[in-house]
Amino acid sequence: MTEPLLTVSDLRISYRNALRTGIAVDGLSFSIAPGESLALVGESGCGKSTTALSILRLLPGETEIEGSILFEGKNLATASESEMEKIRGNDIGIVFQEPQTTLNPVYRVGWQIGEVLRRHLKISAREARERTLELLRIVALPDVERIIDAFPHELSGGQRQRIVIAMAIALKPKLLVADEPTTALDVSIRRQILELIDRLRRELNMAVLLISHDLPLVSQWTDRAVVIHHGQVMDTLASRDLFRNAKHTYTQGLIGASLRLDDDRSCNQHRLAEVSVTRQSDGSFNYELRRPNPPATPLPVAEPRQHGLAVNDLVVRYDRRTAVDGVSFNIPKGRTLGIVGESGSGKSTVARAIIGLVRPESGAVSLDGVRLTRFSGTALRSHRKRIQMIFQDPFASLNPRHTVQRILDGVLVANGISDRLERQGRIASSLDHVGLPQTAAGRHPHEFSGGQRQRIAIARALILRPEFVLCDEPTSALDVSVQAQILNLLADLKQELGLSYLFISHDLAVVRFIADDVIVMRNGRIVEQGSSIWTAPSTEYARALLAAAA
Amino acid sequence: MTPLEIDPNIARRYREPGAGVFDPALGSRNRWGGIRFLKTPSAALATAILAFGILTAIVGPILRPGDPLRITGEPLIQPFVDWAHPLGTDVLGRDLFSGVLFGARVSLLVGLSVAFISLVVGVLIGAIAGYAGGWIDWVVTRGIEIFQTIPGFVLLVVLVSVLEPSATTVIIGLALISWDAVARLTRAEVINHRSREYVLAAETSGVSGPRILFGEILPNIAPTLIVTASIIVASAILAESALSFLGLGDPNAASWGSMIGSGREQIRSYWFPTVIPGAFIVVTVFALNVLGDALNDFLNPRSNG
Repeated sequence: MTEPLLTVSDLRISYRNALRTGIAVDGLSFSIAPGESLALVGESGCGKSTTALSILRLLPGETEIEGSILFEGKNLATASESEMEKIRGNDIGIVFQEPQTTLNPVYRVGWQIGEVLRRHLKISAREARERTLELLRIVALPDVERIIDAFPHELSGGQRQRIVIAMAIALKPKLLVADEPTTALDVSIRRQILELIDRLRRELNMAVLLISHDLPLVSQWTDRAVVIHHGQVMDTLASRDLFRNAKHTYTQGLIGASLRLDDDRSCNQHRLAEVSVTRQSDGSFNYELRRPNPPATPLPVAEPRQHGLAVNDLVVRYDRRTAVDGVSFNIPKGRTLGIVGESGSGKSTVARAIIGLVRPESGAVSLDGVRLTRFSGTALRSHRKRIQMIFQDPFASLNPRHTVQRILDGVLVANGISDRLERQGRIASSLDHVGLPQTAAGRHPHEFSGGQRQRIAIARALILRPEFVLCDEPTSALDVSVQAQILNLLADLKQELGLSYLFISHDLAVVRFIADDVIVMRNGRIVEQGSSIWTAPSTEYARALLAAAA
Repeated sequence: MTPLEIDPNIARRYREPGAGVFDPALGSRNRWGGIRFLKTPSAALATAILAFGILTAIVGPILRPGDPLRITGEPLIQPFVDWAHPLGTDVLGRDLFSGVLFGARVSLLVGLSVAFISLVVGVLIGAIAGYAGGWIDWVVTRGIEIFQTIPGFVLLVVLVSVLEPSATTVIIGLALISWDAVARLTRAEVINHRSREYVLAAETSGVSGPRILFGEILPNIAPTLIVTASIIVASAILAESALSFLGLGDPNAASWGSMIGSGREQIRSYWFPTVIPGAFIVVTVFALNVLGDALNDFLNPRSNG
């Protein structure tokens, strides 16, 4: 076996910061061979990003690093700042999650790449420009002569990420650290970026350390995977074995919670595995895998066609741009309609128009045959009670200044429920429904984790006892294991309370699991609908989406 | 790329599923917030100075009863010489110590009233403009712009010279030139919060407009407004002193500015009638600015998560 390029042994990192204190990485060890592609997999907070940043020594000052990070025989944990400056970029390149913030918006992208070359190689501006053009060709950007003089905002997200990659590989580093490089990008572009990184790895004989939370992605694009939880290694295994031979309970739990497009599981018959982690009194962790079953109550029977939520020829315009352009669909009671589409496809605007957050230009939304778009004020409010909404980001959708009690109570007060006892009872039962303890009521949102916050948001949506719930990307800000819990919860609630959902997501596998019917949207229009798209998509676009997600 | 700040996203992940441990280190922000705030040396110092100032303003008349403008002794007694006049007397023989005590009253009264009035007016107008949008917003923004283009102090001088000079006039005049900044800030903050998900969520649950504005949005922008208020107090004290220095303040009340004004002519031979009230202005305004900074650091941490 060849000498490893990077050996991390017994790495311990703890933060001593106003924003975060405590151990982030707790005795992590792994190594990467030259040209190898290794993934650090785990959920938020497991320390994978902290590890990546520690390799480049980009952590804040009040951080303690113990253990060793040997890169070509040099210990980066103790290297001086001037040594690190030489290593960053020259020997180790980094690609961050968000290309928008990595690039400086006031400089042309060509200048930014050229700057890296000029600073490290001391070459002339002309030579730097030549090299930059070559780099842009290497990362397969079209029309490089134009792009080299473009500003970051003139490029698409995928193009920007290619620019960032070009910057990272400009000096032909031996190791590329990619921290969630595709998470901020659309599904169809993700695959291209990962293909690019993989091609560069082979062509430049560069090792890649990929940080990701996405197990299907890791199993496809890397050689080996290190599964991390609370800063410790759970499993180290060949990536292709990830879905077959996971040894640790936690890894098995993550696998069971992950959805893949070809799973063919439906929330009407299946529930996702839930992994629960509890801390023992001696400080060690206990991992428990639960495979819940759907409740025994029978599935609600879809009522005749005229009942339910109907959207007819909906058109929404923002200023001059048409966001939704003639969309029609119908959700019978007790069914779930999924809308998939990439960012900017108008899928969120549809939900916002239904609930009245944006005013449609034309078209109709009707509930059980009664037109909602004609109402205003109190009349609309009394009907609106029957439709509620769950938002994407549980960190943004709860008022940080109010307690949970006040958040839930405010909704009831606003809807004219004046009896205090009844309000108390409803708050208690909605907390019950979403599986939160009654003590949660007295606390503020910041005291909860993301998954618990999303439960609070669901409780808020359910407290008025709606019939239709619009879910706008309700799990895309959440981790896999939490996503599984929330999806299971939504599926249970649908069955118990006879709810109907409009489920909007960019994640096809999630939609396939949760939805009965599906619509594919692009540029404000419906491209394709019906569940046949999973097996035999009839349009080019749907085929491309499926291929990218598979 | 220098390793300086912890990414707020990394910071908030300490209680996400992969972390496994609930780290209690952050604790509850609300319960011990006040004490934590006072543990910052600069904040503690500023608070102590201001508390002392307010205390003197309240108990001052008990400590030194009588009109501070009354002649009580020899003119120009040096400070710390005669204990009947601990800070000395001015050119007319008026006691500087009682002048400073009464001056604290005027300064703090003016400063706090101006801050209060401009906050109420500015927040109301700015919040409604920001929330309503459309033509209401257009009209209000133009109105604010008119006030911003008029040089504030000139308007103030004109107002005070046309109207009868009194503490009320000064307060109204100062409020008139201070509210526009509050309104602009409030409007910008409300617009920023207007499209956040928690506001949309309240809207979809049928919460009424005024309730969203005052019950949901305002508590979230309160920190910014509190910081602004402390700066307004400071600038109002400065402006009041400037007016009194020019002889445009209330002629029947001793004020730090008017004391400087009357001591100005002897400054070459007798420093103390000018420097003593001047030092009080400097210390108070400095304390208010330090407090504003400390509040800003305390109430607006980089992470809003």
